[in-house]
Amino acid sequence: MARGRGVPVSTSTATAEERLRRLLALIPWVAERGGAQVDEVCARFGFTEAELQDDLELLFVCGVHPYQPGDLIWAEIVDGRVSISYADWFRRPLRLTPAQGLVLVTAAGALLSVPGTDPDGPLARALDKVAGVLGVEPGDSPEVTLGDVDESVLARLQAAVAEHRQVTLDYYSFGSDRRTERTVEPWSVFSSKGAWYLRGHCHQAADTRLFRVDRIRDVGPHGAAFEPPADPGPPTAYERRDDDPIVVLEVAEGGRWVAAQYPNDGTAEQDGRLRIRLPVGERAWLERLLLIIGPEGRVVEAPSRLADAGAEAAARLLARYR
Amino acid sequence: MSATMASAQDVRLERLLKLLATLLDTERPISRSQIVERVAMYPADDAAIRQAFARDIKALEAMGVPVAVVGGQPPLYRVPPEAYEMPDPGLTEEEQAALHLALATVGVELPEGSSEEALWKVTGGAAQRIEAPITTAALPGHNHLSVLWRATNERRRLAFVYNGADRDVEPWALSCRGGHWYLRGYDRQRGDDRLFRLDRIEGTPSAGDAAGAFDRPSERPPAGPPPPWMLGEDVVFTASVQVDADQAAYVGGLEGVMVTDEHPDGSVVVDMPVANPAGFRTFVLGLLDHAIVLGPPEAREGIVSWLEAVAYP
Repeated sequence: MARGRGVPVSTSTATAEERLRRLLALIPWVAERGGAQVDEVCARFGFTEAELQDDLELLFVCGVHPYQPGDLIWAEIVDGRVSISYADWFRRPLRLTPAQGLVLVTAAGALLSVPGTDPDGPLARALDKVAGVLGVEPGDSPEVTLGDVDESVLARLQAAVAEHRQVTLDYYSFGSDRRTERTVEPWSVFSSKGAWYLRGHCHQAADTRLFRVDRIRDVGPHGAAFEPPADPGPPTAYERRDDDPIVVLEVAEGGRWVAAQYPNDGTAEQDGRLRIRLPVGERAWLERLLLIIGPEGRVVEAPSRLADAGAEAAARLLARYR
Repeated sequence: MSATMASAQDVRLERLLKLLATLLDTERPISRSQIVERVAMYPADDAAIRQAFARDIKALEAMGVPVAVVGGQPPLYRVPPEAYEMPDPGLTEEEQAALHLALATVGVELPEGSSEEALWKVTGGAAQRIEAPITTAALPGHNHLSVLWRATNERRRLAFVYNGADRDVEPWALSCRGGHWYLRGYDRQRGDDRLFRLDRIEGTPSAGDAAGAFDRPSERPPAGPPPPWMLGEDVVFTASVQVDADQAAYVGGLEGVMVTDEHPDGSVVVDMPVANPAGFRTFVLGLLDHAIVLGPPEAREGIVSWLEAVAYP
């Protein structure tokens, strides 16, 4: 994540291969513009000045047989300026590997898929050009969907995060199956596993909460300013709460997917059926799960208020069909 | 780190640079002994030379250097500059900045796909410090992604095991949806196009030797999977579902769903084609009290008998 500038490769720990990769990218860049400031080269390629000096000294003795002055690369630092010449073998960067090409077109394509991104803007043009040098035909780039999202909801949340302003959300809580109004201090907006999330401090819950952006029906005008935490935590899609009650579900073959789909506290085989220990945050969430599994599963252990959640929900729905 | 180790790294870096320059410089492929003589940095004894040379060639190949080897006794080596050099994409500064921001925003977890090195090559690194973006996105990686991507672009056939069966596939397109990678392609044994989820591919896929082995259909088929209720060959029935105001916008906006009636209380009636009745049941029950199936009768009865089995076990 966020590797735009990259972690500096230190020559004291970098392998020869890592230093070579960096040099092969740096040489054409410096040579092409007839030299560059040391500061800029260090910033762009993640060097310290001493590391750059080391690598250039080494470059200076490189070239081809018979290593006469005319066969050698010229590299030097004079008055804070790097110059490299006679390096024709390395006049262009090494081709992108398939993996590097894939990372570039995937990241650019993913961002272009976000509503509100200019489809003819600089990113789209950059993607076209990179695809061109990769020999990737139009339509061959991976189609990446970061998640369904309403353009104006996303834009208002991003603005609120950037400006550190509270927002009021009209939010459909999937877990409790209720529409609620929340006042939230928004910390970050992110996409994970194909869905968009807002993470922040919820005043109603008096705690950190995660909101699925596609379940936000509306975002009210921005409210009071707040001070975001220094470390808002990682953008992860699931946050379990310690006090979630545990329900033990026993499923037949057709319900085994539950163990793979939902975070759980472990499973055990029992006479050809699988027992799954599931933390259950909200009753409606459990009702939905039990209705979907149907005859393929049953609750074998639960706090009394949750023990009949499935049967009660089924009876309630049946009443609507009569 | 000791001074000797640091200098060993220096010696190796110098040797790799000279080896690469030599391979790029020669117009004709040359033998190992010619290379060793020109680079003049290899150890003295034969076994050590062989080992060091093989290791160096492997290191260059690992970073993507196209080392052309002409088989025979002895084998000959060369790096054709036209295969080594990346053409200049000619990005403007604005386009470079957009690309940097994209890679700072979207993380792709590929084992060997360093975005940092990719940006060095394409843009010469970032001109300015990239502020942490407001929005971030993480895409899953997958071990086979590079192999499948390359085969897709180069139109190479792929062999792999899926659902316990050997497949011979013409790969058409990769896609990433809902946190999963998919490959769409033509399954030659089955004579039909299929969608493969990458994390369900068993073993290691291998790409055929021949590039350009097939043509991709000009019209791109849907990249990702259909919704669960459409996972099937044919439409079995078209369901009519009443959805309350709370969920009306969500359901009405789904692909393939058509709103046929809107009520003053905000509820709607929708038509949805169903190819997979079990997937449809899961979808409707997931809506809890927000939806009831109006028809056709067999769909409605299916839901009712399922609910009865849960209500009165």
